[in-house]
Amino acid sequence: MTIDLAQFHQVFYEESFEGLDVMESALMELDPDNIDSETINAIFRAAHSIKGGSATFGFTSVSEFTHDLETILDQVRAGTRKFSGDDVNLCLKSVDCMREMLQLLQGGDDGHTPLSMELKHQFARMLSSDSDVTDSQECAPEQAPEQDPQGPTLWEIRFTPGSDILKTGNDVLRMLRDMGDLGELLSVSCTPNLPAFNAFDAESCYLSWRILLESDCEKSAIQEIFEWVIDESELGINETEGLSHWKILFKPGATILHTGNEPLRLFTSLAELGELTATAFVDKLPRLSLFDCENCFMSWELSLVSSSATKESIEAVFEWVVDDAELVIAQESNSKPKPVADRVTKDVLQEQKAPQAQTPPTNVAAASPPEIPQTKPQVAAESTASVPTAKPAESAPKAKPAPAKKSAETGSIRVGIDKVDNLINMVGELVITQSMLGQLGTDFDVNRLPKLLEGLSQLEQNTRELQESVMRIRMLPISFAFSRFPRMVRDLGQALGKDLQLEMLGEHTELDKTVMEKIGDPLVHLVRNAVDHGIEMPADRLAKGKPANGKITLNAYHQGGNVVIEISDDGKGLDREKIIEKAIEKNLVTPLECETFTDEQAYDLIFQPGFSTAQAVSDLSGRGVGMDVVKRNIQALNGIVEIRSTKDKGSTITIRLPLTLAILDGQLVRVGNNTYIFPLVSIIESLHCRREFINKVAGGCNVFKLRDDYVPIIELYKTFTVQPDAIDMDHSLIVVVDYEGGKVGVVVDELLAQQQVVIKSLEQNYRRVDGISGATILGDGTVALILDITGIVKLAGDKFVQTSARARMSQEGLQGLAQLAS
Amino acid sequence: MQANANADSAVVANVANAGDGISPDSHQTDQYLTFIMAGEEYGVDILCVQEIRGWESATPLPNAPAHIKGVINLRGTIVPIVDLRQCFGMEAIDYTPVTVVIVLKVKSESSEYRVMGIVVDAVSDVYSLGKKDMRPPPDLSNAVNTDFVKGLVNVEDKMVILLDIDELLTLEDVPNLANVAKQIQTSVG
Repeated sequence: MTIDLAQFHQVFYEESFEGLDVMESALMELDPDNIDSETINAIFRAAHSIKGGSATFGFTSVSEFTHDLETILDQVRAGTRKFSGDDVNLCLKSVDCMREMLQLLQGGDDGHTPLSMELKHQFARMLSSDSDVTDSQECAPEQAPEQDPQGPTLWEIRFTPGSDILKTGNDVLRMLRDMGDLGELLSVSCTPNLPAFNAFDAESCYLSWRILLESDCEKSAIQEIFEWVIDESELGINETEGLSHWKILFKPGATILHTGNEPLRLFTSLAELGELTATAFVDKLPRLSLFDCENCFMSWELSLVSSSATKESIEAVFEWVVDDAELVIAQESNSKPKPVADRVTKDVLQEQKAPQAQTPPTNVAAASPPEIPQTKPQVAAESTASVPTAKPAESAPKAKPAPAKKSAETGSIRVGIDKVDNLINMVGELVITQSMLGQLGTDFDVNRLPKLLEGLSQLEQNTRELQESVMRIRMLPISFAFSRFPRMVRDLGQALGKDLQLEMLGEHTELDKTVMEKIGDPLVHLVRNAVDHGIEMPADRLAKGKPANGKITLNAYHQGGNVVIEISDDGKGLDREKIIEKAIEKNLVTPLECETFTDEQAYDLIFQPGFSTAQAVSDLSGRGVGMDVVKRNIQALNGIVEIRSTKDKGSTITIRLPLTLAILDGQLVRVGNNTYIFPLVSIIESLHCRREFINKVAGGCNVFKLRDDYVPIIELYKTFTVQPDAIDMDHSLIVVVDYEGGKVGVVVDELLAQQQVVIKSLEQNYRRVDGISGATILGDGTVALILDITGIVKLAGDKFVQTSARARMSQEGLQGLAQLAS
Repeated sequence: MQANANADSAVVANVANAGDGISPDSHQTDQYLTFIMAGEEYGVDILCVQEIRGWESATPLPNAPAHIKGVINLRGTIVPIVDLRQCFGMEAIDYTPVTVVIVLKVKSESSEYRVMGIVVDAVSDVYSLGKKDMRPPPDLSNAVNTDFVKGLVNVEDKMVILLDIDELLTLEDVPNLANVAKQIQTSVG
């Protein structure tokens, strides 16, 4: 009954990444001086489940790594270890490292990274440095083998599970396997405690185990294996000190059976001396034609764990056969450095410290214990920023498999149970409506028409609600994208020596999942920019009379049919002159063009490919990815980026994204023979156009007097060059829509129905069309275009934009202007 | 309602079984669907042809060039329609119920296929043409882009202009082709 574990891998990865996020945010919250037990528990729990999961799936690289981290966390939790700010950094680094390891595993790699090796050494040193508290023998051999002269301990574990253990999904076999990972299982004996046959329940467990484990692990490590079943089981773990462990190699001569000696009987007597396990070898078997069934061709390797057996007593058992057989008896308990030696050499090799690698492992620590702690912190400290010379050679090939992770990515989504419950309720209602309509259909007469109409409207409502909640499944709060920033800003601040404060607002604003995934990288870039280029060094800030700590604000909110994300900093702002200078230098614009540039146009230059205002290429910028990529990515989502900036006050970058990609509520309008669709959310009101309320401002743009307000208007037929019903405005309608906080009136011929429309891309087969955000298919199969308000306003011309800015000015000023124009 | 009528008038031809042209002389042949425009015969690789439909009114796109007739709904996909006559700078003619739209699958930069329709006067024939029958396009060196002319071929004493549809329709803005056809005419004929 093998189960393909691979089917659970994806879930494991998801849960682990989630766990890592939890660890990360909890670590950020953690105040080393005043450790909150709740927080540290949360970190520990997350680490523990990752460890458990990875061990289950056989990802030993991760489980071993996490184990060490967990040991440290456990000590912190228990209060036996002080936790400093550096330790928090180390833990954060480990979180990164685990994330990387998991990604490698996802890509089919073994998950070992250079960083993980290094961190493991740091853990080991931390654990061994205060061994008075921990007596962690597991890590000791790596750093201080002299503390471990006795070699591994022999543990005797008596385990009597409750009879219901199998029903709770716990598998003793797995526990044994886990124990096997800790050390060498010398003997596993199983005692049945079967009930009377008629009382036998096939689903209950009637067995108990006695296990002898030779391992250098701690008691807690063994206890942990039984953690989930401890409540319902009897468990005894004893250190069997003084027990000797004998390895006996017994190769009897072929004629041993002729002398009346039976190996089986010998083993029975051996078993009286202690716990015996035997392995038989049949490599001496001759060809069938030469086979003599009276001869013995087998040899055995026996392992005897006993408190009383001495070499003499064992020899006594073999007394009668010793002349006729080959017998090697060796005491094993003290001479078990093999796995330890392996590990040390392996790690040392990974470190590429050739001179040390050649010395025998026991000597490494014995001869140069002070050396190791000295070299390693350096390596670790440098690993993040600049890498020491020996490193690149090793890290470069390791880094390569990373892109493979893409192939393993399968899109999935974790949805809150309330959303799913909601859906199920709605489907239930839909089914009721459907059966009601079905019944109505079977025997229908005209008298029941009202009933039918009622049913249909109910159906319509059900469908609509269902669709809305299905759409909502794809929506996630933007905190998913924001969550990485506290960590990032903190790290960047430390790296740059800047004092930073991050404020996040509107984290509950929901955003489509696909949009969220694609907006992540641009956001990272923008925040990085704000920290790197925007915020000044503390000294400069103080000189300017600003507080030393710079503030970065991430804000998300809904506006019209858009989600708006703002990244603001209170840094030095964009330097208009420098941007223009640079743009001229790079031949992006001519000096003549620049003279008439508005600030907006000047700032827009930084979105040009190949543009960077950074004076020097730093670690954080100058990676070849510029603002042009940011802009392109956002535009690919049908979004818009804008910059506002004031010198020495800071800059704000605003990203506007469509709310969802698939469906929107639309208001159908007609202009001549064409049907267009306004996103319903952007419409404020619609009203009849009256000639007398329309004024021209400066001979160009028309403004419409809307109560106490003047609203610039756009004649869609002019903008789109289509034939309207009437040029005469008196017969037209004005749809007043929301435009970036202000209002714009759009002149149309007729308002048609309101309906939900499925957005289809024009770009897929054609290209982006100005003023159009997409197309949709109407009920009659024809195509209608969805209007993009911002695009239309842009199309209507720059002159308009200026006027609309003026239109937002105070009423008096505007009235005067309007009168002037008329 | 209108859509249904249009669907009825759509001529969906099974182009693979359409008439044979000259017989293949070797295995090095490609099949080309030819169509008539202004009396000239043009050919496109039959593997690019998705289907042939009748003309149905398209939704015009604002501020689009004249040769872009708009977009239609092709079973849920928005498909732009290009008038190849206008694209080549020929005189536009009125569309009738028998006006033909050839729906082409065009390779685009991002390896996915784009679907486009071209409006032509009439569909003509399917020919199997060997690579060696093809003559390179005439050198129209005077700055006219002829990348989309794959070559010229003689079929039963007719000249067929083979078009490289991938090149032609993926050009960001379909170039001003007003002179291309004329120049092909003059330099060949």
